[in-house]
Amino acid sequence: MIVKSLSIIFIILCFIATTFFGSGPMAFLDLPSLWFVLVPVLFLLWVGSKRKDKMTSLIKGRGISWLELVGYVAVILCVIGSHMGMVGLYENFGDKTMVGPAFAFLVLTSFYGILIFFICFLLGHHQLKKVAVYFVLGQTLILVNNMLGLALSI
Amino acid sequence: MKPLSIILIILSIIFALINTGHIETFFDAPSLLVVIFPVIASIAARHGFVGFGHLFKGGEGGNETKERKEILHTMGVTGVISGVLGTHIGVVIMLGNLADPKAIGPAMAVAILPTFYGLFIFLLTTILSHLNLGTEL
Repeated sequence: MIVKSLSIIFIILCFIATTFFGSGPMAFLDLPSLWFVLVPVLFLLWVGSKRKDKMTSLIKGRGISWLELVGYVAVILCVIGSHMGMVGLYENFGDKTMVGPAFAFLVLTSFYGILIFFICFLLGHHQLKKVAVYFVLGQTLILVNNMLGLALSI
Repeated sequence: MKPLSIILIILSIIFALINTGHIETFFDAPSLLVVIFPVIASIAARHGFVGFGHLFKGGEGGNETKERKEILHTMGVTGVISGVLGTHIGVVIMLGNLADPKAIGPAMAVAILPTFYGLFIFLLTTILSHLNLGTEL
């Protein structure tokens, strides 16, 4: 258990260290996107803690564990959040003041969702469904294409 | 034949990189580190330190052991996820200096590199986890 928690902390420190190539980790705090991803995930974790069986053990007749379910919900939330950000981005195309918050929502919901998915993957001992990995990979394309849109709009 | 096919796949990727003419743009130390360190640490996180031993130990009769297959799955998936997270970090760093529109292109090229490295790790682990390297050469 000590090895597990230490290595997860090490992985998160790796990501935090990478942010210092820019302006540091404070640029990654955004309240609306944190709220959007964290509230459903915390609710699901609370429901899971009320259940009788453990979070990492399989749900009877379902084939996945509760922790795996939380991870999938986080990924789907990140895809939904990035699409909501896209709507805001292209609705205000060309308006510098409105484009910024929408793009921050797009990037950071996706970032938090994938981070929670990753932590759930590391905490459990399940094998992932391939669809979830494809969802994660698709976020790169969404980011690149919308970065192009943002560059055209300013 | 099977190790040969792995070498062929890696060589074809390297040739494609050389063909682009700018092979040095495909190497970026921070992008490499943000993928490599999580991939190594994820083995310890999910399988403990014994996982490193299982990774290099073949099964009986050249068959893949169950542990090795799971460890390779962990490595591949971690590569993809940490690569995408690295790209997100790169994009947020880019957003900090949007003042020069001409700098967006080269910065984007660097920001995509972690996903590229992650996919490369995913490719290697996918091939390795469905091969038994012990019997056929």
